[in-house]
Amino acid sequence: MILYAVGVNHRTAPVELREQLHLSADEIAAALDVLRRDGLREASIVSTCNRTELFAIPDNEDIGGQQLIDALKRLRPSAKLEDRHFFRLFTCGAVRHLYRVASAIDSQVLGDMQILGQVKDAYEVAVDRGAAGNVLNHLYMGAFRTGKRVRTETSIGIGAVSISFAAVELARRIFSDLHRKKVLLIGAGETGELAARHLISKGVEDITLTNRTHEKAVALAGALHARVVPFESFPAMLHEVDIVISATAAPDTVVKYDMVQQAMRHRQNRTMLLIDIAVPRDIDPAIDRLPGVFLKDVDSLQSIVDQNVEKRRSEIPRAEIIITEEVVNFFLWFNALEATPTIQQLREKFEQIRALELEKFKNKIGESDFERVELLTKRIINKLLHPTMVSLKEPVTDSAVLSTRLQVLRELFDLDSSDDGGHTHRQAS
Amino acid sequence: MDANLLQLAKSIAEVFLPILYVVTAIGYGMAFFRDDAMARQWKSRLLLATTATHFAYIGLHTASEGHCMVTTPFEMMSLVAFTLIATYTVIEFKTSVKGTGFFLVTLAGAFELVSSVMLKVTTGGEMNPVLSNLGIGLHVTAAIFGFGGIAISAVYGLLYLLLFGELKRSDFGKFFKHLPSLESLERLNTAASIIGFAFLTVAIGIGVFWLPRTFANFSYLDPKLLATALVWCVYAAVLFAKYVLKLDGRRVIRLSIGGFVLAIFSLTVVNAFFSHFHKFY
Repeated sequence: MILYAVGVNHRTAPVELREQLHLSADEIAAALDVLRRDGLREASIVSTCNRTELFAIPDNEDIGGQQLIDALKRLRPSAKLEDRHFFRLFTCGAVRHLYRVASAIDSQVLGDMQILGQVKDAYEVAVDRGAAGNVLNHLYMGAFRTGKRVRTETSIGIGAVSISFAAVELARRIFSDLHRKKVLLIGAGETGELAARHLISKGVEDITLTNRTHEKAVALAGALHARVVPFESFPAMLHEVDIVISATAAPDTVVKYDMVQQAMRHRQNRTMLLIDIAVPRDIDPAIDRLPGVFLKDVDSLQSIVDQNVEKRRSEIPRAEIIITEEVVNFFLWFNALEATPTIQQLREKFEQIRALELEKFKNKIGESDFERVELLTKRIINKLLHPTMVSLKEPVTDSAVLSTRLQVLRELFDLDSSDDGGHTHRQAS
Repeated sequence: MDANLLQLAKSIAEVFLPILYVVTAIGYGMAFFRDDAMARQWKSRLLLATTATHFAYIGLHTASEGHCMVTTPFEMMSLVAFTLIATYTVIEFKTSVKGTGFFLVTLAGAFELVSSVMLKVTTGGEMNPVLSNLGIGLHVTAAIFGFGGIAISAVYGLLYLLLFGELKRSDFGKFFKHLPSLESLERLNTAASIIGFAFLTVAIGIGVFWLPRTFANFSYLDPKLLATALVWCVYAAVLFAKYVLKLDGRRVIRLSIGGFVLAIFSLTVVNAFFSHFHKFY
């Protein structure tokens, strides 16, 4: 029984190829049905914008990594994917990979914990389709535990790693309650919109939008539940707002020194944060000298992002330790699975001998005595087998140790003479 | 409780309390500056242990000495330390303001260390019976809360200035990462200033009204009284600047820190020249 992981991700294939293999939840469900018909005992597919990965246990040894890659390719025959775009891992590598994915160590945005939810979704689809058996259940439970541990025991998900989110982080270090703050967004571009959306997610409710092209502002205002003011009017309401985000494509400054000076006088120097995420800059840099004003541009925000990325990177070794612990835990359990058929055969053999020997006495003693002898022999066998069973079920750190033990046992008790292939056709109990 | 046993318990607490303060401050420091996982995990428990031990110590000291810890400036310093750490314990467990523990615990620890060392040197004298007077008790209690309030105000003010500096310079270091927002720090600074000012007002009021009736040689020119009145004036100016002149947060906070420095001067330097807390006692 071998666990495989094959697929494409941001490390192996460019986005234009990755997106061709992206599967929706319904497509994954259908694909799992097909894959199981084609000889996979257990299977699951994790598909996000950055990866489509199959975790599978084939029914027999004829199916290997290459066959699984071919199976994935067949799901999207039109995709221009070649073998070199796929990674292939098995057993320990496959488990470690899933645990790294669940921990967001393997994410394009390091520490982006959204992936843990996506891994959970993949598992739920596999469960729904009956494609997750004992091994995948254990594997995914381990992955969730690993992801949760990495999130809580390290700082891998802490701090903004995008310019727009860094703007929000900055605002939260200045203002205690964003819920009560008023925001002015100048410009209707994507970066400004993203920063506004992050602010909304952190509690901002009062957003005013202005843009040279009024129609664009109106269109975006609907999505942000913001009100719109004409571009010419925004200086007059500047004193009302606590946070200004400017992200226009204007070649000259949009927010002038005099405007903010007047606004600050009006608001009695109550703190105002101005975030300039435009290049070239929209806000006169001299404004930063005004009392009560914080002006931050793209470079300032980028330095927050850089520090956070560096901090996240420094957490990778701690995360890897947790992942290794959980991989070891998984294999302690997984290796014990190998012993199951031998345990069954050994018990059956003992039972056969017991039944055969008892049969010889059946007609020589009374019925009640026979029942007593039967009970007694069962107890003796259980007691004889108990230490062996316990020893075989004990987790081992080295699978070779377990294999040797099993081999010795099979030879000592001559289990292979009546073997119907149980050793190689182990069933996950 | 048996007197010997009481004395033994007090002696043990006396030894362990400063150690606990140091360990707790180190724990908070390691969590703040080195982001140490174990320190993050243990710091709050250490804080609770220190606060509880200090509370027990005050009880043991009162029971074994037969009077409240208000007879010498060093006993009062221990009460100020307790006020600081108990206030921070409430802040940590009841508000969203986190990350300021190192600074408050260190300040409280400094008060307690000085108190512990100096009490060892100075204890043993007889208590003046006048200290059992209700008016004096209220005067001293109000003064302790007053000094505790302005000490907390100064810590949050200092943290405000440090965070402000990092934000202005775009040098986003430890304070940016771990401290609460500027607005929260300013609010805590103001709240603590108001509380400190209110208690100092009560302390001075009682002092001016009650002390002349209690001490025959009372003098309005007592250096401690003058220094405390000066501290009171500074905090009155702080609140005036904040609420009437509407000065920006940074200037108000600088003024409040000035008030705290003056208060420390009044507690330490003035005491160095007088054998008693006041000139007349």
